Amino acid sequence: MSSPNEQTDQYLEAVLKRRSASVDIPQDEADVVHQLIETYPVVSLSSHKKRQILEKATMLSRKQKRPKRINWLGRVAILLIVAGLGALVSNLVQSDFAMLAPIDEADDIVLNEETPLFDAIPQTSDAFGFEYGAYTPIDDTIPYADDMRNAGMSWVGRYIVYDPSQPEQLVTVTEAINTAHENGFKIMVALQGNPNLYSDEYLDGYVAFAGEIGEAGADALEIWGEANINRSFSEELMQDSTAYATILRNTARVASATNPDMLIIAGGPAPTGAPDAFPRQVINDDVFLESMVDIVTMGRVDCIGMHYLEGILPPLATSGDTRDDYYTRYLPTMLQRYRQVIKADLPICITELGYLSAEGVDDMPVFFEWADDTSRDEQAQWTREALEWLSLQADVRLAMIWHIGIPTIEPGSDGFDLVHPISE
Amino acid sequence: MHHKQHPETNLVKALRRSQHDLSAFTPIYEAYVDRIYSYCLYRVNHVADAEDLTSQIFARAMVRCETFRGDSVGAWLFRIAYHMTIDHYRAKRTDTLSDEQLAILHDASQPSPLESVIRGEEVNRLHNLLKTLDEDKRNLLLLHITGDLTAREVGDIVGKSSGAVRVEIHRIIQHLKQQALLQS
Repeated sequence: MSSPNEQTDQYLEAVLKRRSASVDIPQDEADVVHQLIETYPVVSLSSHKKRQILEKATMLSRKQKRPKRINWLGRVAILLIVAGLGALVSNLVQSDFAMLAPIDEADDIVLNEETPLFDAIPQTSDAFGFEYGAYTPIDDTIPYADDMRNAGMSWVGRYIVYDPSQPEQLVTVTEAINTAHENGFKIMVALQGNPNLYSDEYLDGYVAFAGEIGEAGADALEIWGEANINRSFSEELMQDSTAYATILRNTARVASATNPDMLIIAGGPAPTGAPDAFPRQVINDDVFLESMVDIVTMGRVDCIGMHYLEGILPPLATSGDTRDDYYTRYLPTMLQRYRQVIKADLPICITELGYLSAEGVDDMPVFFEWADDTSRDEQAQWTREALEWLSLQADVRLAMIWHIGIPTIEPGSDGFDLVHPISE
Repeated sequence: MHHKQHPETNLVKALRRSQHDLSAFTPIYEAYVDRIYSYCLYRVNHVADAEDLTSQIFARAMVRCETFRGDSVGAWLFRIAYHMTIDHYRAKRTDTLSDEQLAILHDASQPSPLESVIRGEEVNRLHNLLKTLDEDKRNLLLLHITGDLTAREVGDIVGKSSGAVRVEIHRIIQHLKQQALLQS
């Protein structure tokens, strides 16, 4: 039996014979070259490692391919988000904004990635655990993830209207939750209901769906926002002051059972003061809050939602609005009014925070004309300042910006967007 | 070389298809991932960094597949790898493979027990030899050997003529032989 050294010599001899001079260097150096080729191996990665590297490469390539075209699922999500936008103006116009036309497939949507989100990075305080983020397109990637991280955001928002005829909704939401987590974000799902589908069976399905969202790992759930206007909630149910509160209680119970760590947020009411103009169709947001506050404070709700979208002055202003001095015009007065109504230690989550600017927006609807004098620069600056001020409020837990990178599909909708989406 | 499992012409066709259908990129990835990874590993001397770099290189390739104009997918991929490893090397210089990383290297190629003994010794020996080369020379040699590129392809990447590359590799080999003698 040969010794190890002899075995080594035999092996090397075999190697040298097997390897002919296949490279562009003289034969007299072949021994060293062959040693290099034979003993400096090309590493064979395991199939698992190959798959990991490929998955990461694919994810990176998608990020690098911005501007990104939104797939049909993204378009559906965008439709739903903009549907919610209509609630903001429902106290002014009751029907013009209601029906969303299907998107023409030829109208490719392109996101503009050049505009910075803010004029400076928000200098928010960590003293009270305040966090913030934004509604933004999410499917299997988050096109604005880097921009949002750079702006200090740790949350993304996803808006969805429950529809039992679309079982793929759970897949879509689950994908968004997974994508958010893979990108290091927490995710708030704003689960809206459809008043036109209302029935006991529908409500049961809504509650069950909220539980499934909890199981899927969402970090926060806003339960049926803007239920104080008939656009978002059954007009019949609106006449029963406890109807929404009952839905809220049942949904919160199921959702928190499936995911005890999920932040349960009572749906922010639509900021409105027009019940006289639209009787039975609108309930003032503070009145609406009062009707549910007892159930909220006794139940499993962690946070009260609030939507602030009407500002035309810097966020600390409390007077000077040319429309009137109604409390929903100013961030401090609206927050203060909610505190008065809640009368409890429950924190407030600003589940929709945005400033509308008409600058550069084609076909801004007349009911948005109050935003004509707000520039894009002011929009960015005020949003930043609002975040900074909110972070100093001990009872404000979360703020979600409305919105980043949501393309234009309805007149005026991109006036809220911090990155000026454009259509080709 | 035996590790070329896909005829280059098929890979060129696959790359052109992948401009419209990313799934067509799979055979290219399969054909080159080991060599690109190996190149990265020997360049940056760090297993996790090499994995990250490999992902980044293939991501860049997926995004820029429409920029392919040549007839060698391998040369095109290694051109990307060459530039990205230089960027990485400038940003995060590491000089040595640890014993643990060398062990991973040995295990990854799954040699026979005898080969394992020989390779273990030779990899260490050659790793030490290559450390005696400056960065440019080591890169040239790795492109030639790990990348399995011809002198002309290496020259295209590093901006030298094929003749200059041959001469350079000749000198590198001479240098390595001298170093091998000194270390023996």
